[in-house]
Amino acid sequence: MRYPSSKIVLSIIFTFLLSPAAFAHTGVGLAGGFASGFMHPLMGLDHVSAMVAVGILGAFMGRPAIWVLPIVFPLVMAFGGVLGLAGLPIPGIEIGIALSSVVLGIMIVLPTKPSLWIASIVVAIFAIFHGYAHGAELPSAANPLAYSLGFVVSTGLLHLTGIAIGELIRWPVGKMVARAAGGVIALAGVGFLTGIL
Amino acid sequence: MRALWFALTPSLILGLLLTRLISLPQSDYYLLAASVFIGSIIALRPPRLPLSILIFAALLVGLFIGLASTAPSLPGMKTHQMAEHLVAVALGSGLMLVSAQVIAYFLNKPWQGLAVRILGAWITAGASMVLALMLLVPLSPLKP
Repeated sequence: MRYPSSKIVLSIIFTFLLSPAAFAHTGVGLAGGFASGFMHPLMGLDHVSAMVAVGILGAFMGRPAIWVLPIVFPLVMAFGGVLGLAGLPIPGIEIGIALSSVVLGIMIVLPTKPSLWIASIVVAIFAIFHGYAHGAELPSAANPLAYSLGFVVSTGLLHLTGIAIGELIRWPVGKMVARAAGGVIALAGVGFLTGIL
Repeated sequence: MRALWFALTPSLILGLLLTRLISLPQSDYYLLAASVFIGSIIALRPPRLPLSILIFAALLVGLFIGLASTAPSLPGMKTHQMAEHLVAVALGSGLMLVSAQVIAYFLNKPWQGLAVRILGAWITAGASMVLALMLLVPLSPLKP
C-alpha cells in the first residue's frame, strides 16, 4: 500500500487553508450552524477544561479508560442534552460544569488512579451538566444539525488534545507537565466556581 | 467493507427510483436514528457483531438516503433533469462514503483508532440530540 507523499498532503491542506469563505448567503459566520457549534465549546473555558481533563484522565488511567471515558462523556452528555431540550429543570447547571473541572483536575493531580467504574460514573454525572447546557442552546441555533456537527468535531478535538497531553506520561518530565495541566484545570474550576474566571 | 458497498449501492438506487412512486414523510427522523445506531457501533465496536446486522444497517441507510432525496418538482422541469438529479445524488452519496472510508482506512494506528471511536460517539450524541429536538419541538424542523 503506497501512502500519499508529504507534498501531496501539504498541497491538499494548503488548498483548504487558502480557500476563501463564501459569503453569498446569510447566516454565515457565528450565526451559521456549524461555525457556532464548532466555536461553542472552544469559546467557553469551562467546557474546554472539562473536555481536555477527560482526555488527560483517560490517558493517565491507560487502557481501556483512554477510550471508554471520551466515549462515555458524549453518550451521557446526549442524555443531558435531551433533558435540556425537554426543559426539565436541573438546578445548579453552571455549578456542576465548574465542579467538573475541579473534580477531574484533582483526579489527574492525585497519584492514585480511580477504578474505571468510579471514573466513568464521575465523568457521566458531569457530562449531564455539560449536555444540559448544549441542549438548552440547541433550539436557538440557525441550523441545529450543523450546530451539533460543529460541537461534535470541536469537542472530539478537545478530547484528543487531552489524550495527547496525557500521553506525555511516557516521559518523567511529561508526567509532571500532565499533572500540572490537571492542577491548572482544577484551579480554573475554582475560578469558575468563585466567578473570577 | 465490500459487502456493505454491495448492500448500500442497490438499496440507494432502489430508494432513488422509489421516490417517483412514494415519498418518505419525515425522512430526517430515520436518517438521524440510523446515525445514532451506526455511531454507537463505531464507538463501542462490539467484538462479536454479526456482519448481517451491518449489512441490514447499510441496506436501510441506502434506502433512507434514496427516499429522502426526492427530485424537486419545478414547473418546466424535464424528465431528464429529474434523472440527472437522482444520478447526482447517487454520485454525491457514494463520494461522501468513499471519503469517510478513506479517512478511516488511513487512521489505522492505535491512537488514530481512538479518534475514530470518539468521532463515532460524538456522531451518536449529536444525532440523538437533534432527533430529540425534532421530537420534542416538532415546530422546529431542520432548516435547509
